[in-house]
Amino acid sequence: MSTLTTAPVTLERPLVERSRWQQIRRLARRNPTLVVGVVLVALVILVGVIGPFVAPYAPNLQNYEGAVQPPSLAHVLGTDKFGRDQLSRVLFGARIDLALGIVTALVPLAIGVAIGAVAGFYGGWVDTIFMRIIEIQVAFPFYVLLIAILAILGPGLLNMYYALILVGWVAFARLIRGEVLVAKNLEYAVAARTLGCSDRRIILRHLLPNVIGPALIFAMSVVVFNILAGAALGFLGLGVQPPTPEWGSMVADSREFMTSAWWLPAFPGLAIAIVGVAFSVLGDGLSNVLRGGTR
Amino acid sequence: MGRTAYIINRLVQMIPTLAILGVLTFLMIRAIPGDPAVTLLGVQATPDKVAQMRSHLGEDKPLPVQFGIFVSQLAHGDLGRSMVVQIPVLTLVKQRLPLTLGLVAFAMVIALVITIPLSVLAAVKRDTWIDQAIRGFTVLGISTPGFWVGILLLILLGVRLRVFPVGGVGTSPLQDVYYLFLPALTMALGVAAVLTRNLRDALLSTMRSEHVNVARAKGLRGRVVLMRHVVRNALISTVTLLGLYLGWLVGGSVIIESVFALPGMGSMLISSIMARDYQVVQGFTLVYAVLVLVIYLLTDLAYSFVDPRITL
Repeated sequence: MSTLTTAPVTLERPLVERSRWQQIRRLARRNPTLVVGVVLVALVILVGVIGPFVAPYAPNLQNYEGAVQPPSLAHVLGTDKFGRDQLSRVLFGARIDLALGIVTALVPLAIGVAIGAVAGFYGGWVDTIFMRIIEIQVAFPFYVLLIAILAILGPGLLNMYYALILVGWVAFARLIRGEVLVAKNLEYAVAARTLGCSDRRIILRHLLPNVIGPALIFAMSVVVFNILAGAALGFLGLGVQPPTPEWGSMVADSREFMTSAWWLPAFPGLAIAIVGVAFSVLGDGLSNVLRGGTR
Repeated sequence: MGRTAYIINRLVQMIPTLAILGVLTFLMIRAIPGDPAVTLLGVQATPDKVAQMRSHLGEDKPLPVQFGIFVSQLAHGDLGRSMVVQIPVLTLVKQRLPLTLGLVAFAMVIALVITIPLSVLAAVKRDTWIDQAIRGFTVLGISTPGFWVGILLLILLGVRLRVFPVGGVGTSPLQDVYYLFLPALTMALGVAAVLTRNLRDALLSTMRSEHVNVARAKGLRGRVVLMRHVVRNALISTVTLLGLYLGWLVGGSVIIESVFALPGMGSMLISSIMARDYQVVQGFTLVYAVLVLVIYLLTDLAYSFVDPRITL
């Protein structure tokens, strides 16, 4: 480190040992995208956690006299066709959409990493079967495959989880497999083997920490993607069923009032977009860290 | 390997994939809970009638026999018959496929019209507010749901300003362009966002390469360097993505067709699922899969045309 050799002055504390606050400030200066992403995602998750507690009304409280009202002081985001408070429904919906996006990214990440690592490391029949699965899966357009699976399982929130997980792990496995194929022949992996490490140890302690970065970044875009997909399926009536407040199905319900009540499609969709942007920015920030660049 | 040999080879490779696709769609339909005969006749139907309908539909035969019939029908280009509208599925495909294909192609054209100027602008004006604004657009485009953008466009341009129709199709090809503009634009925005981001990065890395320095050193004008040496080379990496996203647009069309009430394959796929018209779901799913396989093949071919260095 050049800082050590060019610093003859006596320091109150060694330069390399920065306080946590300084580390954060340095990170913020070098990678503002990451910081913005972390803050946005934290805020969005906070809304998901406390949303139901701060919501002014119960999400399914009906009031036919006050149906389809534009935003007002009593109902900040207006009311829907049953007179339900839209702000409350958007706040309650945060949990459903966020949980769906996050879980259906993390579970496939875990499954995909395990299968991809084994397929890439050992090759052989595991790899052959895996490559076949990829070939078949890429032939189906993403939404057609999801819709087909939901047609079999039936519409519903839980089935949407199953469908997204069933479809999602393949991309992660493919990513990890490719990385492991390259990494297993690199010096550090060969060295680990020469030292007599078990396969298990090589995969878990040597290969995975080095190859997991891209998969983590990809997971961020999968969160965005699956929230959009979940909302789209809710919109088509294949996802969350009424009266559960879910953003996509709220947009779908608003279609009959499209000409008169702009606030009904606008706000739930905006909520989806905000969550999407938050995770996209976090993903960009993480990928900056991985590339080691500043931007 | 010559191009023809390559195409034949690829087509042969598609056969096992298609076979597995066939088995999957066949099993998929049979895995759906509920008896199609009951669905068709209604719950009040007598057991006699149901049994009659089951034998009419061929459902009383063992699964392997049913599969044999399915395969031999498929080999004759027969995708079965819709149980609800009583029309052969192939006829429905012929009626509805052109609109879906047209929509996808139109969306891709719009996406390119947006992508190329935006990414060139972002790369040339790197790190200025223009670049930042364009990057903002890409983040937004990736993160907003297409069906929502579609509805907002409908409200703004269709309902409020009355510039575009709110759905349906025209009576002539020229009118179709007008009717399909909003749905195609909706689909294009998301894809344009991804492509712009990718092409901007590709342009920036091409700008740093040696052949561009040489072109500049030769004293070529900036525009010539940009168009002939930078953009052309950077586009190659985008072509692969283009194929991928054409496949993606095919899937996205299912949702957008439903938003804009377009009589394509997607809207019918959804309504057939709701109506439990399994023959249509089965046939359409298969057609979608074949469509995507063909698109990937064409992309790989296009790749070799764009970049002469690539031998197939």
